[in-house]
Amino acid sequence: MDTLHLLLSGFAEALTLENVLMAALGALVGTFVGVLPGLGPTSAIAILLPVTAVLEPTQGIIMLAGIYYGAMYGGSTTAILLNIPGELSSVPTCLDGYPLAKQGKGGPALGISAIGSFVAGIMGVIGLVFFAPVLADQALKFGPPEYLALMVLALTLMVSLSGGSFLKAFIMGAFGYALSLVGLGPSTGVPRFDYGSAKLVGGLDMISIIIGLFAITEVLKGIEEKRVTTVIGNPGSVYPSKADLQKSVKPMVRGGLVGFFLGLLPGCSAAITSFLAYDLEKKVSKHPERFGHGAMEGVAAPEAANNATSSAGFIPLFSLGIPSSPPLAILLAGLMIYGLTPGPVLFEQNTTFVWAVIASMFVGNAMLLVLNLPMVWLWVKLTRVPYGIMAPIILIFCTIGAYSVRNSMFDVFVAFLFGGLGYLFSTYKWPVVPLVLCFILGPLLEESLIQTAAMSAEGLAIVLQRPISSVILVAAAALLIISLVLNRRTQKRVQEERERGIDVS
Amino acid sequence: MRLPYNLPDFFGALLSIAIGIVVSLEAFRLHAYSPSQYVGDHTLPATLGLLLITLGTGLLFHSFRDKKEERKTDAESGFRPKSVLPCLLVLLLYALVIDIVGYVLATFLASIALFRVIGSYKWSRSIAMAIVLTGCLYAVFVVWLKIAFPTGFFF
Repeated sequence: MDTLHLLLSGFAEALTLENVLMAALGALVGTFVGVLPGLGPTSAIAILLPVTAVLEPTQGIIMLAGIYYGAMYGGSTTAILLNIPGELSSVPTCLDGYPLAKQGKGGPALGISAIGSFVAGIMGVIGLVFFAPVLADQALKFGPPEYLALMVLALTLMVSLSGGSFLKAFIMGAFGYALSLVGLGPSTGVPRFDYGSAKLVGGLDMISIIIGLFAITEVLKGIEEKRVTTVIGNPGSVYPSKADLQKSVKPMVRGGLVGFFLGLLPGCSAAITSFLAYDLEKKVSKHPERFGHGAMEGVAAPEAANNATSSAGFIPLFSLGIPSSPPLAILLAGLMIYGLTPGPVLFEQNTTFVWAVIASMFVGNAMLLVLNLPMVWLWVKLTRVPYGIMAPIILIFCTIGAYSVRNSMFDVFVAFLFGGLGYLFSTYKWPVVPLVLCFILGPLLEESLIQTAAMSAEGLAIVLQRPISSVILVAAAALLIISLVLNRRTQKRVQEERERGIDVS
Repeated sequence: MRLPYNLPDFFGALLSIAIGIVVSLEAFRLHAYSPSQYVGDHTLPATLGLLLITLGTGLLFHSFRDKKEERKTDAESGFRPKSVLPCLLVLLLYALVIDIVGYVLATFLASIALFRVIGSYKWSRSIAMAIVLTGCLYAVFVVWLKIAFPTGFFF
């Protein structure tokens, strides 16, 4: 009952007029940036993250929630209407979404996608309501060895974020950790990697690195590809017919369940679950031959799975501090701007705020359904703005964003440097998400490593001797194997679809 | 000596080893400040230094292995600096002059340059769009959100 009471108080906080307006604005802007061709949800959130940093905490977080859901939805829009998946997880949506759009049924497909997202979002909130008290009880039992074991668990994510080469993913992860070391040492306070520069003593700003690696890199890639304006045809009414809804209910539930339960496992990305949901739907269908030629179930199932995984991802994010997908990694950075450190003690230390965040996720998601969906025509029109105009605006916006976090020109230089580096990484297929993830988790890893080693004469062996930490380590080993198997399967499927002509970047 | 099949990975591996060495040297320097032999601010840098050198060496060997698929993708995604370098140069100049000429003028000039470089618009159109963009950003970030930008000599 306590949890329900806290959730309701979170809603009371999130549902003031100002906050609802912020959620609406976030959802609108998030969708717009997410819809821009070539800009996936991760880049969209990275570009808009600094805007929220100038608002007061609750408004900022609520706007962030709107941006998150808006950008995710924007990604689905380009997948359905343009056959351009912003992220791997949107590839299965393209398979039937684009044929539907060509048949003039793009609108209903978008409607089904938004309804699936809303249902999955509710499942995520319900899951959090059930899990939160359990986690809060366990929180006090977490000491440095348990945190260290959690950091090892986070490394299993490298498998799903590797993009093919584990060696490169681990090098990027180690580079991310190394970058997080810049600044004052946690135990002695001695500056590290500063080389006499006062600017480096303060460390590198997370937002600047994210803006550089995601937003600026995306614009540079767009310039290189000579992107022009995109002409999207009229998607038609976004409200699905009764027949479409009837066809989609079961796939939506099946996809939602697959996405939600697998999404609870850190390391199980939305790309894995959306492909699994699509293949499952094709298997249980009486007419599997319709798949790939415009089956509404082929949109409903992967979209529900995709969004359910994103929502379920909030549970390991809030409870363990482990983001299971690139957009969630950026969202984690956004939460950290406000002094929230997701992890086992989050529910203990920031009870009121965290429930406002959870409620705002719900509000952001609802905004999408009631406000965003009827305005699809507007996104379609806005995407006609030429890239030659959009790119400079985004770049100037990135500059302001990088500057505004700490009012520092040094951060702007860092953003530009990482923009250039990100372009090189992208060109030569070095995955950047492990770098960002390890940069974010670096300080926690170091703190827990030092404290754990100092706790016992046996050094780090204490991690194996304590029950919770040893269970986490066993779980990490199991997840590593599961992730390896599922990722191999997903990569095979992506390769198949690539050969069939889907533009998977 | 045989050249590596995957040259970008080869250079990436060398860079990883170089970064590993730099991180290890810093760990060695920090070791002097630490009260303990094994635990302190040098522990993670030392571990990472070793890891980067090991992984870099692994990738170095890997880059000599012939993988037809990789060669195909690399040929498709070659580095074309000509298209992005002017844009990066404008951004660098923008960041350099903000402190000198102030946010408003620097943003106006950078916008003109970016509209020219990316969109290839005529001077008149670039200037017009830059005025609109700078004005809108000023209204939102300076007037409404009250962010204090560098003022420079002029503003």
